[in-house]
Amino acid sequence: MQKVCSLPEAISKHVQDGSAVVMGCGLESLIPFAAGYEMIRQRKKNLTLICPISDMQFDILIGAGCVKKVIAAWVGNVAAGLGHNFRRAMEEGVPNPLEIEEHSNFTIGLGLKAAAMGVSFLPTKTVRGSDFSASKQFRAVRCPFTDDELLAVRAIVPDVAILHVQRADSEGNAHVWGNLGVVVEAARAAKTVIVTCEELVDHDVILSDPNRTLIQGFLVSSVVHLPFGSHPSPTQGYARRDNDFYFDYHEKSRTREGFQRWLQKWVLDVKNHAGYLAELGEDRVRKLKPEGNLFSPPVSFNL
Amino acid sequence: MREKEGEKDKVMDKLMSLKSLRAEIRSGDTIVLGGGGLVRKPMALVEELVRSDITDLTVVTVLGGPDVDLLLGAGRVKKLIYAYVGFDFAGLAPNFRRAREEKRVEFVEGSEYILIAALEAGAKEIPFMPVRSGLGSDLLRINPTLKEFISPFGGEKLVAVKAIRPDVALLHVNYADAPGYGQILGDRFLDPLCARAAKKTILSAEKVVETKKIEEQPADTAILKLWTHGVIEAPGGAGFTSCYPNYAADLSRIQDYLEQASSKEKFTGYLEKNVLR
Repeated sequence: MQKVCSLPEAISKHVQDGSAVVMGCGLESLIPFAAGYEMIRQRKKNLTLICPISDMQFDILIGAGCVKKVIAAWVGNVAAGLGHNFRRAMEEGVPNPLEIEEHSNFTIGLGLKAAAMGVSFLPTKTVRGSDFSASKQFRAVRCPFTDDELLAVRAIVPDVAILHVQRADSEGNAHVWGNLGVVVEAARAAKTVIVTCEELVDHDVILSDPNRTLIQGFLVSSVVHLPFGSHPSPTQGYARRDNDFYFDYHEKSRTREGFQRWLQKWVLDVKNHAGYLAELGEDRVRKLKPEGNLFSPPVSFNL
Repeated sequence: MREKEGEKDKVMDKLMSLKSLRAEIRSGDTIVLGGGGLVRKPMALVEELVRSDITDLTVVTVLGGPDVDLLLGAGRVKKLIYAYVGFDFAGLAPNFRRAREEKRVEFVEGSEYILIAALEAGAKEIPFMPVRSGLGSDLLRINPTLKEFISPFGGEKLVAVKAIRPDVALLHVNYADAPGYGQILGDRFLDPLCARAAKKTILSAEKVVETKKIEEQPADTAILKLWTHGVIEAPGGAGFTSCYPNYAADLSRIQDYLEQASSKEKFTGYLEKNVLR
């Protein structure tokens, strides 16, 4: 089965208007920004976006009018502050009103894990006693053994997970390291997985380090070779966080017009990921690459 | 176990002797054993238990092997909660079979996934975990830790697996440091989950190393120090089971064990000679 394809092909094949998409599962790192930009270029509508914290990716997609609903614990711009588009959507319905399913970081993880396990909920002690325990994604459940009352977190079943990783083979077996957030849970919870990777490697490379294969090929539908696909978020070993990019976005997106100019420059005018990297410029891209390597010593798998 | 005094940011030193394991476990405790089948079984720790007078244990194991068989043969088990006990490719576990046939011990049988769910509930400190595993099977009839119930979302029929929160987890790892980080180089099986579920985790390690050595390979750190109560240096601590990459399973010793365990009388001799010595 041919899974390797271009980013526009993967997005157009798997992300439909109205799809529920989980992305940004590595929390502040490994955010598949390039895939988000492509969703905007393809004018996707009425998406449900799912993630514990999305950093500014959800804010961009919300401002671009792609989003109908957000299932999240937090939406904003981690280093810079509020998400202005998110705020405009919530306060003024601009560019469109949003439905919100509010979670804690932990309950997003539990909801995805429930889906990964194929059960309709997972029980927990968290959230109880807080104001959002009354929301419809939570219900009371009694332990059949102890009769204790717990909170049931409804399963979150995304149509698509988009996951950026360090390296993958053509079947979608992926090595991923550093902060993982809910990457593994999301890969198993979603009906379809798109992997974008810094390096497309031979299957032998994957086999050489099985303990690092956290996403298995049988879960994955499309593999996109996309170096720097997480920019401006970091990918350990490949790309540092572009802090200036976040602060610049924060300033530009203060007004609706400013955001629209930003979107034109960084997403719509650049046409594709190569154009985006060209807009960043070779010098900036080079400076964002980690200086040198910090290898762990090799591990012998001989027996 | 001792703490180094004086420094404000003192590092917990959890090193202890094999013999002091006896003070950490009480008769009647629930213990969970790491490793799987003939792989990385905590044999040095289990043998030390057999040398003590600790008994009436509830033993929890996902993939039991000679560790469980030895405890059963030595008469220390009151109740066994398990998914599998055997010698993998080498055959059945003789003491397990005898105990099962003679009904001397209470047996609670689950699937691997049911055991995992029970330990996961224990780790999360919630009283049960919902799964689909076991539905339509006889496990629901014979295993009192399982109950069918209806999900509050969508009315789906599910199985509630009762949480297991063992008193002690006994695990064998490749490297550990004094503060209690444990590194496993091969298959981890359910060891990290056992450590999270248990109230107290005791590691035996092929080698105790400096924390600096642990930090060089963060991805190998399977056991976090906050889960660990004690660290015992025990080279060869997996006994005749394998401990990748240090040693493979010792087939001739396994065959000898199976032969010696073929009758109660012979096994008494085996214990005298090989464990109690």
